[in-house]
This record gives sequence, structure tokens and C-alpha cells, in this order.
Amino acid sequence: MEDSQESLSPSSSLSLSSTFSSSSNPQPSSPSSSFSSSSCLSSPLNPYPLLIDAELWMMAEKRTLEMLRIIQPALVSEEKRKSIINNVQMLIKDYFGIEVFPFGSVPLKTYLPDGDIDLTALSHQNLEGDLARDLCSILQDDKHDSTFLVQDVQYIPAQVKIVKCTVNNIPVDISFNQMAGLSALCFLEKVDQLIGKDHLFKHSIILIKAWCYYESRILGGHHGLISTYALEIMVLHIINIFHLSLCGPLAVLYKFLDYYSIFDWDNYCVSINGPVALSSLPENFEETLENDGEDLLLSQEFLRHCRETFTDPIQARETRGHGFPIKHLNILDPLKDNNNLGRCVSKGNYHRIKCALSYGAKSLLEILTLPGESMGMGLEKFFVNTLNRNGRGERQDVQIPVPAFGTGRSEASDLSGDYDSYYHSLLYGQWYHNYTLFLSSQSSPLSSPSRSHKKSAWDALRQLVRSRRNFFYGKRGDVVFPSPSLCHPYAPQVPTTTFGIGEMEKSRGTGTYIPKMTQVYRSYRDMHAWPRGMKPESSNCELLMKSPEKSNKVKDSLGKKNAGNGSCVWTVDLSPEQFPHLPTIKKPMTMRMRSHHCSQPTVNTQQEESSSSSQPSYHGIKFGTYEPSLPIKRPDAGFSATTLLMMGIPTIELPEQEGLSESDEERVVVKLKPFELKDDGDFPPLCM
Amino acid sequence: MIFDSGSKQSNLDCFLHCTTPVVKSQFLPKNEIRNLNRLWHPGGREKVEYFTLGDLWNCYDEWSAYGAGVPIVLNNGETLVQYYVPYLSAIQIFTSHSSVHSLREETESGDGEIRDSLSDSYSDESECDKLCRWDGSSSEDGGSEQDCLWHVNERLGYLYFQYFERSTPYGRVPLMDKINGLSQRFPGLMSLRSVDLSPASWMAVAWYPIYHIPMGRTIKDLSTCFLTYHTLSSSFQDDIDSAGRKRKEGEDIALPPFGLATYKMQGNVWVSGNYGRDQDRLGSLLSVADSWLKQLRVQHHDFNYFMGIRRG
Repeated sequence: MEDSQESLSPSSSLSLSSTFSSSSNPQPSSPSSSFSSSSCLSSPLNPYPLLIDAELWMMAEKRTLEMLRIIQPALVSEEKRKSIINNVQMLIKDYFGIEVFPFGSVPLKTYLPDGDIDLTALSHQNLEGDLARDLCSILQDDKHDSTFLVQDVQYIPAQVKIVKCTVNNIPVDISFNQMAGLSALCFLEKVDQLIGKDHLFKHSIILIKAWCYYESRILGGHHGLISTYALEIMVLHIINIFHLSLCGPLAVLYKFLDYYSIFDWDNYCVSINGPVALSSLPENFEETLENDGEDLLLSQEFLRHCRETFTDPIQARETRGHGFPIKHLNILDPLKDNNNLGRCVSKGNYHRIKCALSYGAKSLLEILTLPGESMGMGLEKFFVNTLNRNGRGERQDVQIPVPAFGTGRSEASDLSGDYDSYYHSLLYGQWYHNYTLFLSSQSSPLSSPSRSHKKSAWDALRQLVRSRRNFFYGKRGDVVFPSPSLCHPYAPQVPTTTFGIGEMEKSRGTGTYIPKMTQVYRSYRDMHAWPRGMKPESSNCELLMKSPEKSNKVKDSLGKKNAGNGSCVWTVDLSPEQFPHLPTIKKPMTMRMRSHHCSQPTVNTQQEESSSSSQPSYHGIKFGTYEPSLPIKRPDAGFSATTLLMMGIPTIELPEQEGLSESDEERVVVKLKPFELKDDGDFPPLCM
Repeated sequence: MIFDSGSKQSNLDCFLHCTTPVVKSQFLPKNEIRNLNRLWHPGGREKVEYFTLGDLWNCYDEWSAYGAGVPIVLNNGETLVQYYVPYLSAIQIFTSHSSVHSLREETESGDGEIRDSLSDSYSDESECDKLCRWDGSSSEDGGSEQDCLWHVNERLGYLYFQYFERSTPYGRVPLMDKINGLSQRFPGLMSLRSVDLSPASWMAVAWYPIYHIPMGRTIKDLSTCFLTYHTLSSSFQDDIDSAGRKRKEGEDIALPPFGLATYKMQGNVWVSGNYGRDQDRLGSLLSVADSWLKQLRVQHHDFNYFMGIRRG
């Protein structure tokens, strides 16, 4: 292992160098060329060290930045994609009442002009297939908005169900419940913030993606090539290890090619912290963190926190037992144990990828040894297809002309993402799924809802909430997330025997607005009827009794708030006789709960009239005081779960035993704080 | 590559053009012209040009890494570039005995696909070996095989090297890697010159699609796979290139395919329009490939697969 010296002497020369930890070097051991780790820009192909003049290097990076400007997200492309996303979100919300979140390169702002838009809809997991098919029909038929041209709608019924289409000539992929995508988004955004250096991480991703896609054609998980996320982790690995000597995206690109072209894929896999011997897998994440990390940019603690924060404990548990599947290209997912990001790469493609990396490294090295202007031209040739396609005054994803390459008129755009928003989407998704999991466990007629089963769902929820507490929100640990809709077929299920249109119509008396979709989805009542025996016996659920004036008050405020976008408030009756449960404001829980026999958690939402920071009176809220021994009643009494989806502050309560007082410790709720929004656009509207 | 397509250029033409290797040409020293096999190189030429196989493989270097781009025009006028990766599907190199005498090595046929014909590797019962008959005699009899070869030598030359790929496409390495690997044991693969090769020398390259840019929707016809057949000897070099222009001396030598087979071709991208010219062309290229293989009496695994012929 060559141990190298750092030699950054800006006055004379700039070098690409790196310091190596003593961790195993997975490079093939040829004496003079084990790694491009010598103090100057060198590579196994050219064992003699090269000095690149600092000025020349700066020029090269400058040229690279010019190229980046024409392919990285621009104001016009941002606007266009945003409007498409909003349109699809609203469409799906209108029809299905579920939330849709963007993930991947669009929110991360690392998309290429040819890149697609990735969206994931959060729904009940069993209904994904039906939902997808319906969505297809709707997209094909939807002619409501003439400014959005929807074409080529396709349903891919693979393991991950996707609805593909193009909207205004941009490919859009709509998947379901892809929590991993939301996690990755938060993680990468956070990492970019941490690395800084004018978004070195994102710029490098864009540059390397461009090379892999336009020039060497090795990008594309669907094609058995490297997936984008895998590529991002590979880039992160490079930056993490070599950060001290990487002054710009071109340096990262070179290092990327050089490093991976001679990486010993047969015996090692890539992880953020360094190469990991395949023989030492299945990985133990904690173990990999023990690799000496002094020289690494990302601290162990940071990575650990990321894992805990961005990963759903339930899902994490699921994958843990499986063992790491070893394929040809092995890349460890930092957020998920035993997830091999390179698993989709086929053997043949693996060979070609290696070929491409070698060829690319060799070519780039030759270019970097050219003098002055030749180097500039060489760089342009290295990105010939990228420039041909995007540098002539046209972006593939935008209709209007943009500055061409070389005119010097391209503007740098801000690659900062809205981390808070992404994090909230993630939380929402995790909460939603844990909640539906809980509900499913409650409603299953097959097994007696064993204490442990319910407990595990609640445990997870509690754990989730706990883990969010201090990390990103400071000491108070206030977290806010809205409640999911329980009222729609694709939302967490409630017995649809109660869902009949008739009942719905009756409830109109209280002012709830039932949108047109109910007509469309009437059939779902039949399709998704719960098994017999789950008929609710509603008499016990006095939870639903509400004083009219309160409901009106709420209704009014709801109406006020929601009139604009035509959203509605859904409620579910347990029986036609009962009023729909509407949210209360500052109503003491105990009064309601005391007479409540049901063992369902209820999700109540409260609405703040203003987005002030006034604390709602969550009487007796104690955070994290869940008693595992709380006996939970069987849901013989049926469901009382009702929700009202709105902008606001939900609470999660444990159902309590009859007769317990509000001060009883057996209630655990989440302490919540109203989320302050600048405007509706700040957070995807969750109103229906 | 930026391809300046004339109005008559069809997608098929484009494909054939973009997958044609163009090799650097060299001039044979005068004193060597005498040594050329008269049968293969009828005399009378002042200058003889040739290329080395090593230079030929260099053409496939970038294609093997990045894929070769073929600009396609769809029926609705949309354009895109579809990329294909070349894989060595089959190759036979016949030389005059003397050319390779110095190159011949002792080889073990560890790989059942490779056969140095002068070693008795018929114990290896790989399918292609069995079927590789020269004069209709049984290949199981090692002895008669030898005799046949001597007969054949005069016509076809000495089989220095052959290879028939049989593994699935998903497991193959791109052409450049393959050749690099094979040339470890058969250095002639790099050093032999086109003038050393008998006119019977040929190779088949399999082209498998990667993806197209822009990606857009899936176009079935773009998942077509191709098999191009190329001669390797100087004897057959066309002096007229595909645009009808006569090749000048010293210019690079093109090796356009003389035969073509396709797999999973639907037709709408490749043979639409053009007054049926493409259809005819496809047909004739296919039949040439077929008769070539028959003439040499070889079974080409990929060809059979593409044609839907499955053998035991």
C-alpha cells in the first residue's frame, strides 16, 4: 500500500492527492501503480507522476463548470418540473385522496435535462396494484387541464409497481410507498449541506451522471446498469475519502474514474467509509463504522444519526435478517442493511462498465496532460454527446431557448434543496405506514390481535417519534406531521360497510363535502369490503358524538381554508345515525375518551386558526411515557377511527382504558407544535 | 458520431454504417509482396495495403466500452440515438501455414470453445467442435480430421484460430475484452496482418442494444439484436465504399458487413419505407451469411439462435 503525502502547494502546483488510512486497499497490487495515490496526479496507467499546474487545473474546472451550467437544473426547468409535479399531485389527491411526494433527482436538484420525474404515492400497500391501474385510466382520460399534455401512459406491474407517462414531454414515474426514495433524498440533501464547497457533491453527481449517461452509457438501473442512487453513493465514497484534495467536480470525476476502474470488484464492495471485503459480509453496520475514520469527511456519528433518522425501524428490521446478496458490482446502502445497490447490474454489463471506467480514465488522463487550450477542447470532446445534446441553446426538458454553451451567458442556479420539506415528507410517509400497519393489525380477523403484535407496531411508532426528537429539531423535539386520511379506499382501511354512499350522503347534513369520486369508487366498497365479523358495533363509540356548534365552527374554518382548492373533508360514519367525527379544538380528551370503549387509536386533528406558535392545550400530554404493559382491548367493538385530514396538528393517542383519567400516564401523545408555513407551496397541502 | 444522413439513408443503412470498423491502412514493403500467397492475392499490384488485426480491434475499443451510437429516425420524424455493444460471436482465422508457424504455441484447450486445430482437442465434446466439419467427414475421428485439414489448406488455409461464443448475452464480455483475453494465448490475433489471412477468414460480431437517448417510451423494434459478418482478409476489400466513392490509396480501410442476421426485429423502425429496399437488403444480407456458413460448413451458434434453430 502506497502511503502518500498530501502536497497541496497552491503556489506551484496543484495535485490530486489523497491520504490513505491504513484500511485495506482493494487495488490490485502492482508495485508502481497500486493507486493514484501518489502526491501528484498519477494513475496506474501512467506510473510517472504528473504535475498539473494550478492555473491549468483551475481553467479545467472552470470549463467544467461552464458545461455544468448547461446541464444542471436551471430556473426554467425547475419551474416546469414543479408545475408538473403540482399538477400530478393535485390530480392524484383529487381522485384518490392520497399524498404524492417527489423524490430522486428532481427535489435533489441533480437531474439531467433528459432526467425523469420520480413521484411516490402513499397508499395502503395492498391496494397498490388497483390504484396503479386506476391511475393509468385516469391519466389517459384526464383532459381537464389542457396545459398539461399526458402521453404514453403505461403500467409496469413489476415488484415495484410503477405508472409511467410523459407530461409535457417529461417522463414521469409514479411509484407507491417508496420510502427508500424519500429516505435517500433526505440523506443526500443533508450530506450535500455538510460537504458544502458550493454544492461540490451535487455538482459532482451531475457531472458524473452526465458522463455515465450521455458518454459511456452505464447509467440506468432498469437496464441492468448502475442505478442513480448507487452512483451517488459511489461519488460520496470518493468525496468522503479524498475530500482534502478534491477542489472541484472535475477532480471528483477524475478520481471517480481512476479509483473505480481499478477497484477490485471481485473481492471488495464499496461503502461510504471505504472498501469492505466481501468475505467479511454480511455486514454489520457498526463494524464498518469502526474502520478508522479520521480522514473521512463524514463522521461516524453523523452517519449513524442519518441511519436512525431516515430509516424506518420496522422496515429496517425486515431487511436485516436476509443477508447481503453478493452480485458483480457490490455497493452497500448506507441507510439500509444488506441492501446491495449494485444488485441490478448483470454480469455482462458489469464487464462493460469496467471497460467503460477504464477507457474513460485513460482518456481523461490523456486530456489532462494536454497543454492549455488543447485541454479545454479535450474536455469538450470528453463530453461531446452531452454538449451536442444540451449545449446548442436547447434544453431537452424546456421549450424555450436557453443560452448555448460557450456564450458565457448561462447562469448558475441554486442547487439547494428544501431539506425541511423532504424531511417532512419522509416523516409523513413513515408515520402513515406505521399507522396503517397498526390499523391492519387491529383489524385482522384472523389472528387475535396479540399484544405483542400491536405492541410492535406501537413500539415502532414510538421509536420513530422518539428518534426524531432531538436530532433535527432541537431539544424540544417538537415534530409535526399531519394525519393520513382514513376515509378513502386507498387510504388505511376502515370497514367499507360504513362507506356506503348512502351514509355519506346522510352525513352531508353536517356540512361535509363529498367529492365526485365517491361515485367512481363506489365499487371499491364491494371490492375491498372487510371480512365478515368486522362489522362495527357502533353503539359504543360515543366518541363520535359531537356538539353541533363545535362541528360547525370547525366546518366553517375548514370551509374557509379549503374552499379554494376544492378539497373536501372526509369523514367516516360508523352508522348513519351518528354524526361524523369532526375535530375538536381544545376539547378535553378525557371527556371524550372516558366513554370510549374502543381500543382504536384515534387521530384527531386540530386546527389552528393562525399559524402562530401558540401551544395547543394538549392536556396531560406526556412525551414518551408509554407503558408497554397497557392492556389493549380487542377491537370487537369495531372501529372508531375517524380522521379529518387537514392542515393542522394531529395528535396520536393511545386508546385508554375505560375510566382512566387524562392525567393517567398511560397516554402517550406526541407533543406538537404548529408548523409554520410561509404559504401553501411550502408544504404539500394535505387537505382534501 | 454526427452522421450526415442523406435523404436516402435508412435506419438500416445507418446501422450498417455505424458498425463498420474503419482501420488504419499500411503499405506492405515491396520485398514482402513476393511472398504473398498467389491464390489469395493475384499479382499485378504495385502497392499492397494491409491492416493488422490489432488495429482492427482498436476500432472496437470505444464501442466495447461505451457502445456504438446509431442515429435513428422514427416514422413520426423523431430522432434518437440507439447504442449497441459489440460482442465477439464467432471468428475463424485461416492463414498460410508459414505465417503462423512462428506463432504457434502449445495450447491446452481449457476453453471448449477455442480450438487450435493442430492439437487434438477432439476429446472435448463441445457441440461446436463436433459440428465443425470440413469435408463432411466425421469430426469424431481425430485422424481423418488432420487429413482433411491438409486438403483444406490449399483452399481455405490453415486454421490458426477459431472461436464460437455460446454463452448467454448477459454473461458476455464486450469484444475488446474478449479479444484481449484470447490473444493471451493466441498472439496472432493481434499481430497477424490482413495479407496473411486467407480469404476465408471472417468474424461475426453480435450487437446488443443498451438504451437510446432520449429514452422516452419503449420502442420495441429498438431492442432488435444484430449479427454482422465481416471478412478479415485483404482480398475482399471493397474499393468502393457505401457512398459510392472510390477509396483512395492510403486511406483507412473499411470492413462493412457482408452478411447480417437479426433477432427480434419487428420491422417498423428498420424496414419501413425506402421503397422496400431495406427489406430486400435484409433478405440478401441474411442469405449471404447463411451461404457463407454453409460454404465453410460451420455451425454458428448465435446465427442458429437468431434464426430460431435450436439444436439439442
